Amino acid sequence: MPKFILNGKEVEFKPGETILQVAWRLGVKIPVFCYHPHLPVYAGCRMCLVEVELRGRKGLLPSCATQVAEGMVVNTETDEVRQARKSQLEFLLLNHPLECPTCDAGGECDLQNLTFFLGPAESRYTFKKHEKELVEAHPYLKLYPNRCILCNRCVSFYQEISANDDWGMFGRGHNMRVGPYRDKILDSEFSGNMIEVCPLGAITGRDYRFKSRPWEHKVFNSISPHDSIGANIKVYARVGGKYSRGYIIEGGVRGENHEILRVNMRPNYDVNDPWIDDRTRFIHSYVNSSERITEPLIKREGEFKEVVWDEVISHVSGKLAEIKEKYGSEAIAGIAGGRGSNESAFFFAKLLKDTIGTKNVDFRIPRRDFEQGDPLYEVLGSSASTAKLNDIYNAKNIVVFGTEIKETHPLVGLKLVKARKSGARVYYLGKWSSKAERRWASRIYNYNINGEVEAALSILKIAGLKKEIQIEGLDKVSLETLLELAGLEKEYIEELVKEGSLFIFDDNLPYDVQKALSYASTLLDGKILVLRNAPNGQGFIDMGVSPVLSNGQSLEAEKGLSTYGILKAAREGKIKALLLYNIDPIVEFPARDEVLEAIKSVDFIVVFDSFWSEVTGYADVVMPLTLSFEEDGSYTNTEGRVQWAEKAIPVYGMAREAWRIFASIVGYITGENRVNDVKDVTEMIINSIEPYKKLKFPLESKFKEPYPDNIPSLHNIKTVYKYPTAEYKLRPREVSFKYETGEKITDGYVLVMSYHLYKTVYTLRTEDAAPLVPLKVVEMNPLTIRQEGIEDEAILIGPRNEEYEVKVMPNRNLPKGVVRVFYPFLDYDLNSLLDYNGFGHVRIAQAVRR
Amino acid sequence: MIGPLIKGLSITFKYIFKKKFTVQYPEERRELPPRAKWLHILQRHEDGTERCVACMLCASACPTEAIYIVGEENDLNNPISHGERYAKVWDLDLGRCMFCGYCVEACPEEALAMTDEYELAVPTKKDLVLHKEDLLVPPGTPPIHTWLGFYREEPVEASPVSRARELHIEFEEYLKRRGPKEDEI
Ligand code: SF4
Ligand code: SF4
Ligand code: SF4
Ligand code: FES
Repeated sequence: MPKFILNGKEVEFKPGETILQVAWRLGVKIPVFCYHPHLPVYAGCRMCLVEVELRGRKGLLPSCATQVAEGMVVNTETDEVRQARKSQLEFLLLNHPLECPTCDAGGECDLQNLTFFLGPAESRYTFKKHEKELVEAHPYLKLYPNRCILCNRCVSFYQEISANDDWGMFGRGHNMRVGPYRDKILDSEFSGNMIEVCPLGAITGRDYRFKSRPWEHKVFNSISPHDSIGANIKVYARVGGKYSRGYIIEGGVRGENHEILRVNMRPNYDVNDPWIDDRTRFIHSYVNSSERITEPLIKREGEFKEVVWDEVISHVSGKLAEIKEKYGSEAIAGIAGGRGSNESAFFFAKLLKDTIGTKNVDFRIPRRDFEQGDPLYEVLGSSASTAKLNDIYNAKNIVVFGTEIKETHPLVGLKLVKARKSGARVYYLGKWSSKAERRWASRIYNYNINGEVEAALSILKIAGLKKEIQIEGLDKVSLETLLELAGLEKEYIEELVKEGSLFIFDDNLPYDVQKALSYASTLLDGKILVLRNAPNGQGFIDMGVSPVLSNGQSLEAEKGLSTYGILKAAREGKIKALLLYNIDPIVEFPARDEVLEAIKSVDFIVVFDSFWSEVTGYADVVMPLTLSFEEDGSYTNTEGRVQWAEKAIPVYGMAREAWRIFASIVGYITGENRVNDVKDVTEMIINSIEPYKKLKFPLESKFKEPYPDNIPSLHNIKTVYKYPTAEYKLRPREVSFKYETGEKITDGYVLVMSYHLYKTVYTLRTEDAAPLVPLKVVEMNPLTIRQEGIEDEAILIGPRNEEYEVKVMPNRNLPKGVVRVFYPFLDYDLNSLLDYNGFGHVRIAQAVRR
Repeated sequence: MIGPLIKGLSITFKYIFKKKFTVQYPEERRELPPRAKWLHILQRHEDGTERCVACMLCASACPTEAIYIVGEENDLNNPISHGERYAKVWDLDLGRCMFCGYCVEACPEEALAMTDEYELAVPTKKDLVLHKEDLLVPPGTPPIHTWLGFYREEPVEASPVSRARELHIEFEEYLKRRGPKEDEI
């Protein structure tokens, strides 16, 4: 290896490395401001100047941007360098307000730290400092331009990493400033990362602003509870206990403080890199929502009575045993929401499948076609993605199908941006497309609103034609018919069907779509990445919360009912007991009326949930559950990575971990010993679930990056975490399709159910999300709005002339005849207009002004 | 036997004519020195706004963890303190406080001071927790200047930053000697 001289010592370097990288690796502390290991080099702050001598010439060079050359002599600690740093700091401080006591970053500020160690103790600048106006750039962000030192880190992140363009640097010289363009609100789901990359307190976040100090908290390693990417996060909380600075309550006793102060990212290069999305970062105060259930309750004579845990467990166990005796185990069913930990899912499946003996367990949405089984298993012999998240970086050809990634799995978007920048072709096929997709897609094709299945089948058909393989069940329908129904051109599809493609789609798509794309990927030697819509969807499948699979890769001996089947059987009076774990079918599923009817016809409903919602009113027993911040547990993300989340705050009220409740019921019915430690449950999972056999406890491993420790803004990325993945066996199976051209919607407006980043069961429970939640909102094309003469509000009229008053927002990305409604339906009951596949018909009347 | 008695009484007689140390508390009260460190107060600016900006330095300096603060963003049109933040909660637990005065020294805003108010007995433990409302002085109260070595014997010569830096460097060296602890991030 080539060598150069650093501070008098001969050291080796890899060609292409910068002086800074080598120095840091060897533990030489060089201070920086604008350099960030995960951002492009800007070299604008000159804090990292070092003395470089090469071929007889000597001078100060920025080490972050200077590549090492053979024979260089570098000195980092000469008087000249020290003087340069000192002067540089004095310059940076010229216009910097000295308000550390007020500033939010006090205690974790690079400028504070470096001035402390290297800078001058006094300033010689006696003139008035510049004063710029505070900028509110986002409901969650505020920029204090006075404090900004124009290091460009935030701009690099915003423009290069998230490929967005409405935040930048303007002006020159003294008037240079950073901020949003034209003072408009940032259109980004990653803006919160700028708080973390900013070396000082120029950008502050809404949840944490001025509340606390970094030395006041304890940090807990957790996993994002919002989506199935499982972004690694650090949860900062003040906690109760002997040594904490918790609330002093009356009497001088330290009380427990349940507040989560903020959430920051935890670098994990397999999952989230050093970034997280705004929903994960800012939405956490739902843990203290007034809608939390605090006590276990039993309904007696039409009223809920608070009871103790032992009573409720024995009551439920007795009831379940009784129903099983009387009607058989098939009369009992369970629906889950896919939000809990693996441990809880494991015991949920164990309770229903082993102890009670029913296979009627599911966590998917009630699509009718999901009755057929598991689409991925059907093709691959295991229900899991064949690609890892980082395969996005390796793939040359990526097809994103039907998923609004920005709304459900925003972090995948960042990966796609990076993939596209490094030369991959990224195609997006969707019902419609927005600016978010244009950030990463090289080509966008929109298929007809109800042409999803046909679009996927035409991809498969073209893949089959390329490989000269006949696909069973598709020979009757011609490619032309499919393309016409999908509304796509043949060339489009031919272009994107390439050898080794990576297909990305979500698991709410029709059965045939998932099946077709998985099959196409096997034909093309490609891979699939399934984005689970439930935050722990993969974990729930692996634990056997599925009517067909006993773990991610083995079939149950006999098939149970899917969510759709359970609801249908309930309406027919065949289901006598229903366990609802973390789900409210009435507001989270479409086809409200039918779901409601089903719920009403069940004799015994047990709700395990953290929040009050509609279904709790119909429940016979309600049990409060902890949220993911209040319990230890493992979560499997969408690629099969098993990650551990630590308990950060004390439990709310009498809530309990779900696995503990299910285990108690199992113990009560079977007389088995109760499990008391979550780690024992994890051991049980590792021992009994096939794909998890190779995992070892503890799951977490970490390594350190060589960043100097006197730069607080790099602390967060210093320790890098790693988690193992479950290993699924692939056993490709025979595939055949039963495709029939169905009836197509033609007249009126089509109501389409979709997701919104800030409308979830969590965000609707906190005030913090309020500025961004589309409450009682439907979206329509502005042209349609004008055509119908709608002003702000409209009345949707359903097929039975029922009326719904909604706010109408323009969205010019939507096709004309479409009304977009947002899941979950806590604020309006528009889901009664939708069928099980998430479509509906409406007419529109302009709202009458009162 | 008589010798020690005389010796003892001689001391008594010697003091009988001297000025008395004891006072008839509570009728009579002793004048305390100006730097007496008893009950804390939170001071105000001349314009009546609070000096405290919830920097939490006092809470971190306090060896007994007697102070609990929650900061909050100021409404800039109607500010409670100078700057963007103020203390929403500022609790002092006198049951824990040992009147060391570290908090006053730590305060960068001259917001916190200690007074000669030493009659602090209360009937219940609960009353020992004082809140911001109890500690804030009424507007217009003359300020107590706690800076500039008020609590020190000699005035500080070097700039406080350089002295603090020296201390830090000493501490760093100590850390180096000690070596890294397990699981220290
Ligand atoms: S706001 Fe922060 S990150 Fe952005 S340029 Fe200013 S100092 Fe740098
Ligand atoms: S005087 Fe000492 S013990 Fe009392 S609050 Fe201040 S720092 Fe804490
Ligand atoms: S140190 Fe002073 S300004 Fe800071 S929180 Fe304490 S009293 Fe307020
Ligand atoms: S110029 Fe190198 S860190 Fe800024």
